[in-house]
Amino acid sequence: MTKRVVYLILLALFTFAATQCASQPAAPAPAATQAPAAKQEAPKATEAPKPAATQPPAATQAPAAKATEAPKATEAPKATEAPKAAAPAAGGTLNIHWRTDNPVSFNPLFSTSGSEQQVERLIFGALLKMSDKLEPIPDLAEKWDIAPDAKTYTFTLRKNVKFSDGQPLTADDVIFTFERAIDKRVGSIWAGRLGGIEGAAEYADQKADKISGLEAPDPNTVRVKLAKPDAAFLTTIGNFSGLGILPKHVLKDVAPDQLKNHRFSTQAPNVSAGAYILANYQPGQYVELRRNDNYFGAKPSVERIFLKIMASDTALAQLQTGEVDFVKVPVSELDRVKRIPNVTVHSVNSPSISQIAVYNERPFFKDKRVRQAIMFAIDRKGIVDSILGGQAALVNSPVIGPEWMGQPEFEKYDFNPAKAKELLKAANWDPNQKVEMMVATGDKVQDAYGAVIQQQLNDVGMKVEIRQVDSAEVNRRYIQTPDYDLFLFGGGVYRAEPSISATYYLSSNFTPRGGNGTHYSNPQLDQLFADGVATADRAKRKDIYTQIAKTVNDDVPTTFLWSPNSIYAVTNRFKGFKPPAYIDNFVWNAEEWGVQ
Amino acid sequence: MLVYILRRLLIAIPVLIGVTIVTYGFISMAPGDPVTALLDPEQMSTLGPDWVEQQKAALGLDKPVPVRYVLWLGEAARGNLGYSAVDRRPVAQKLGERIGPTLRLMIAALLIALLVGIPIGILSAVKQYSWLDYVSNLAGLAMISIPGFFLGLAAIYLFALKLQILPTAGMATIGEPPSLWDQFRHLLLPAFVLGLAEAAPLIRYARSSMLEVIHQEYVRVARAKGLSEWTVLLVHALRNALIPLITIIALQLPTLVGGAVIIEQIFAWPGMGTLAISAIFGRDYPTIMAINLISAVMIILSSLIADVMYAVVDPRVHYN
Repeated sequence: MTKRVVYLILLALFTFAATQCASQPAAPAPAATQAPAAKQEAPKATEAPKPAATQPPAATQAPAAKATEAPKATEAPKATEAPKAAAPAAGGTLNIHWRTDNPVSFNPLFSTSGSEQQVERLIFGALLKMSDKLEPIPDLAEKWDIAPDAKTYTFTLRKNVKFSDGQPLTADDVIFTFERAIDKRVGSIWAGRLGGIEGAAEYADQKADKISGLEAPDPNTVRVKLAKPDAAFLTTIGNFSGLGILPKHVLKDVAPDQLKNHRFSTQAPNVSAGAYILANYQPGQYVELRRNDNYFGAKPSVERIFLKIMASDTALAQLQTGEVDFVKVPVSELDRVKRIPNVTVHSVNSPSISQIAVYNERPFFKDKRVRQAIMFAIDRKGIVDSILGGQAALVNSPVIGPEWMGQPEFEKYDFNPAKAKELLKAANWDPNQKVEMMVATGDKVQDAYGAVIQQQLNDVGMKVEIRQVDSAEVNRRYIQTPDYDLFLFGGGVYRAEPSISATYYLSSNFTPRGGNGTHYSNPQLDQLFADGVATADRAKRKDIYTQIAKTVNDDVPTTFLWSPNSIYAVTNRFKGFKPPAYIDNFVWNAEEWGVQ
Repeated sequence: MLVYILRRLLIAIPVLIGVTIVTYGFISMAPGDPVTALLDPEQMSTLGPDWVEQQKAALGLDKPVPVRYVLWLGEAARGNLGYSAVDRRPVAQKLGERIGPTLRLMIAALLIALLVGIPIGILSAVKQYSWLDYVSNLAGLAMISIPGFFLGLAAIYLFALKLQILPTAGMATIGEPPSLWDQFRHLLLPAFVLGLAEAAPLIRYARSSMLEVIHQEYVRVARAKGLSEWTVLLVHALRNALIPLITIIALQLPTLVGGAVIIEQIFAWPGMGTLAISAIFGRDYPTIMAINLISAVMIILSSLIADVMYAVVDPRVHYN
């Protein structure tokens, strides 16, 4: 009997000890197992390549098209005003469904996913940020001046801006952040984006102890000199959620190659200059943000924001019980969510394009009539209406915005299987040629229309097989060692700037060295893109990009499908939410949010 | 006995090394790596191959697999599980955050399984072929057959959305001061969903092993001595009926740490299961290795515990 008791006690002790040991952090610095990676879940654009215009890339897009409940586009704040909180500071808590897993980093230099950038947008101050229409708006910089040659940008910082710990934020902090972003030892994804700054390359390789194109004439002014004219530079540094400015006084002694592993980056960015501070991070559960008392702008009315980490099915249940106030809605759940009382559903056109990349190196895809046949063979309108619930707008070229550019219309490729067959016949298509369509796993809606596309291509005589692969395999076959026939995917921020398509269609940008995954090459188009970035006049730029759109529309190096809508559900107690053009930017006016 | 336990623990060391070699080999063979697994094609193409190579080198992924394994083993032997390849936090810290919630959920589920499974199993053995026996058989079959994710979602729908008496998910109400009652309410649904699934096999085993025992001669002797029926069943029969059950229960112990992946996902429970899933999708080698290591240790320990418990319940068993 006593023996039994002893064993039971031993068992209990073991359990207790196991729990305790495991909760103790281990000593740092292993050899084989360090450092980073980047986690991604959002479509993204990179730097818009270099137009030599003097005007900042302006208003981007109007939500519109087939959005059933699209609210009117909201007014962009005036260029030199801080966003003002609409309601007086009232307190209150907002719950937002944030991610399905833990973030990779809270440091703007290292995060690559839209949801991480949402937090950074809330907690860090940036020189400028992006509005709901993907237009630059002032943040830490109250104004900026662009030299006529589009090579020198002068930012005037707001005076008396303080970090959350009360220390002043000056031009020194801005320069520190840019230096760390560019330094190769840091390994920031911003290094490439800021590579156009004069002297960046030398500094990146530690051949210079400062960046020659970066100077602070006084504590409130930062001057950036670019090596080449680039009118899209503001879009570059404001893109995503802006490059958050790091506190030099906190991080200056952290070795550049250790910044990524530092607590500030991995779990506790505890000194920042945004409207909120990160108060508490519970991995697997939530991130708690609290109002920053030292924020330079008007005090936000919401005192605490909880960003919850959970599966999206669970989040939808919590929307129904009111435990979360904001959820991104998959189109397959739209009807169900619409029936939930006290919830408003917003649906706006996104800046991305769903498409089928066609590997132009394959001999059987060389003839453009084959690629046109694919466009004609797919009943895109039918798919949008039946599978996507009408929540997408058809797209026929990569130029779909911004507002001044419009959406030039050429061949509309209306569903026409007879014409598709004709084109295939004219191009001597071999009916025995097998074509493999690569699809990344995990997207139910994409699987559904992927199967329809396969069927419709088979109907016109193209033997298509679907191959499901995970993202690691996609990256290997689409980028690292290109080897595929067709690849069904979506993403990009095409609507922000017409020059963005150069990334995907310039013949000098073939993967793995660049973003041209189809290996489509057209010298005439290369010339047009070169002209486009060298032209300042907006009317002339419009002509050039219309010409580009026309060429791509005719060549269809990839099969354009549609631009899907971003759909969000918001509880009615959540006030002040204004749907942005880009889902990852939904926190763009967070300072104006309120709760009832 | 102590010598026996020590010997078993020593034998466990080569077993553990073997387990780590196999798992390290398998995860290295899977396509991709922590850098590329988490990027989408757009990002990959715009960040460029140099950036990707640089990131891989920073993780030590430029070295050959055997070298990486030996380096990992050396650190692990000294108690250093390394840094996550994804979010770069110490792996030990990541596990530490998760093991508490997982143990809480699993112990609650195990208790429910024991308290539901064994009494029902014994009752249906004692009252064999009664309506109670049939009902418990049927219920057990249902509990095994209904998948956990369905039961979980159905439970959320019924108790959280329709009746609104329990919270949908999470471990506590976020943003409120911690309270035992609140945490208990959050624990109920996932613990029952898990516990009932574990109770089902226990009912079957408890029933059959009890049936075997109550027809033995010594039970008849006990009755002949004039002992009350309950004393006969609970003191004389049950003790022997429990022996095979110990194996079953001990085999469930590793899940205490491994976590219930799907249930944790559905109920947003911040445990080891959700950590394991995201580590595998992110090709987070150090985290995967640590989870595997802990699971292997748990399996070895629980089989040891089972053997020791045999000696405790059955005086005929001796280890020398």
